[in-house]
Amino acid sequence: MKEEFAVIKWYRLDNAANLFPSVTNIHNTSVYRVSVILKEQIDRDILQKSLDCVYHRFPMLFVRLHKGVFWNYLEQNTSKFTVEEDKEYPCHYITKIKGNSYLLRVFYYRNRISVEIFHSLTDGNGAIEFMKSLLYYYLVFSGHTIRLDQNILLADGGVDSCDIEDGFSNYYEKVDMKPNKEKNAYHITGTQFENYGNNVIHGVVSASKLNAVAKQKGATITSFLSALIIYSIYQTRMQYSSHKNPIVVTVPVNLRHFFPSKTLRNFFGVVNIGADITRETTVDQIILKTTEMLKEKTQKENLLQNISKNVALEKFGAAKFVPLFVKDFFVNLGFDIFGEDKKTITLSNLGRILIPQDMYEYVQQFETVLYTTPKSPINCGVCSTNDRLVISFSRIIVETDIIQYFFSHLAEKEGVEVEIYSNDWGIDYDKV
Amino acid sequence: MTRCKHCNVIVDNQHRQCPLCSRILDNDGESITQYPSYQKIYYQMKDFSITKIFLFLTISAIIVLLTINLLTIQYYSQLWSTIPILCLLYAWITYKKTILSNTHIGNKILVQFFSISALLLAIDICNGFSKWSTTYVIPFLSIALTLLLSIFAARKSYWQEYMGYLLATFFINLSSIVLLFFHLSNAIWTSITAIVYTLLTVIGLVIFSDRKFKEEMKKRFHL
Repeated sequence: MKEEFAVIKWYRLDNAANLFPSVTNIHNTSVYRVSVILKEQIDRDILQKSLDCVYHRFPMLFVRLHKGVFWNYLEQNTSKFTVEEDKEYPCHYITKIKGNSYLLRVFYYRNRISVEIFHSLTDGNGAIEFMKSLLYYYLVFSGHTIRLDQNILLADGGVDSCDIEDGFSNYYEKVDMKPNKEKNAYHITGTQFENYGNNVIHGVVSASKLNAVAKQKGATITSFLSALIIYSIYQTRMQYSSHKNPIVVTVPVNLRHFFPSKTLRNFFGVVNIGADITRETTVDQIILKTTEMLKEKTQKENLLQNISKNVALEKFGAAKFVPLFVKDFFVNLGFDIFGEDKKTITLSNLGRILIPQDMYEYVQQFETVLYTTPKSPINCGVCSTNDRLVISFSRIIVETDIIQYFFSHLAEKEGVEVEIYSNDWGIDYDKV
Repeated sequence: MTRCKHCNVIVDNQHRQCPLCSRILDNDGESITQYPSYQKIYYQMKDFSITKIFLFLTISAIIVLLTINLLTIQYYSQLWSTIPILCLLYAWITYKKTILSNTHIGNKILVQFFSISALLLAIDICNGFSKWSTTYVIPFLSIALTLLLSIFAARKSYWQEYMGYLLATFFINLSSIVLLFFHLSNAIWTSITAIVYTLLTVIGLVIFSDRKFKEEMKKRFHL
């Protein structure tokens, strides 16, 4: 049967996206999730209709990965995209990653719509824009009136080149490289679940209350939560052990705040904030340290260093002629040495998700779930809307001590009420 | 929603035990934040599967054949067991990479080409290496490979996806010149025929669809 597509669009991977196909496997899926919980149950047909509606507004997301000789690239996927019922654990591996499958999945279950995205397509910012558009049309097709007092990417808006530009290449400047002298970080260990998978525990707090507590200590929400995570890890795991490595939190930073760009692809940098803790260190001291570090490392010059380091490698002339499988080997090596070894845990704060006022009536909260890796078996995603801030810990180990300490401290010592729920992956309640 | 007194957090209704400390709670119901039950998935992940049975049987067959061959080596001094063993390995490659696999058909055809060539080459070597495999089998298999890929490509309006495979075939055929250099082949005309056939296919490709060809080159080499 002859297909109808005369011209198949293709896209180069943006600078950050090049990393993921080389390092992805079943234990490091590079798939993250953004979900929304509505106050009414999800109707599958309306969801499919909304998806069909936004499909052509986001062509860079509905692609398949193609292995070239020297580079991977993304190609328009011509098969039908259907929404599916959520059955598996969040952020599980996309098995046909280099075959014909889509690199994006839309799930529904009860009141939750989940969008799972392979990181080569876009970052958290892009994922949220997609989710907002999908949600807007879902609510409109469900018969509700939504006035557009916030920016939503509408289906009839055209796709222009700003949406698919590579922000990294745009702002690349040749700068003097400062050598990287970070120490290896402490790694969390634990007992893997009998059935491998991501267990997610969500904690819902009042965004305004948390913000007030953080401000009172001279911190932002991100630096406050980072400090609390570092403190929890120390108190539960390092206090009585002989480990001397620093606890390092990796914080992805949305570069669009510092370098204007409308791109819907990846445009983020990572900042490592860490601390060497002793028994005498108090939480407030850690908070001051993380706040200061975050502020310093998000100065424009430092972020430029970040961008340049990555782009330089790609633009390096000879790289064009190195076959992909050789590149894969070195990328993997670099990922381990400069990435995984140097951090303990990732904290990704997507910030306040701004949706039209009319939507608040139907939306309960948003969630974001990160994928785990062998050296980073616990990771944390944060987002908020309408005063409900959701902190989601995903883990592949049975032990909950760090997460329990974190939430209990928040509830008892900082006075912030926490509401907990989980997907209970791997928990056999008969045995517990 | 109940409070877990140990952790001092509120736990949603769907949890009978606190997710943080596993203590029993007074919850009894469902809530909108609920996730699906994973029981079915756990069951599917269980160790027992058909593939594992076949794997065990195949490995057993290989070991048994090898053992019998070595035990009777004094009566029958050939390593005859290599032939059934190689056939079993070929069956496995076909099962895993062709039947079960989700890769592109071009990839599957290439894998089949390599495995059949390797199998017949090995049988040839085990039987005194009279070079029938390198002289006739491999060149004609290459021609069949190119022909098959061309047929598959012609059936689709988007033939470009086969281009990578066709180019790979061209280079495979070129490398069969190596066979000639090392006198591993008894006749030149077979290898030359294969090379000429693939060369003509590629030239035809370039001439008849040169704009699409250029676009494909750009994609694959990021020029």
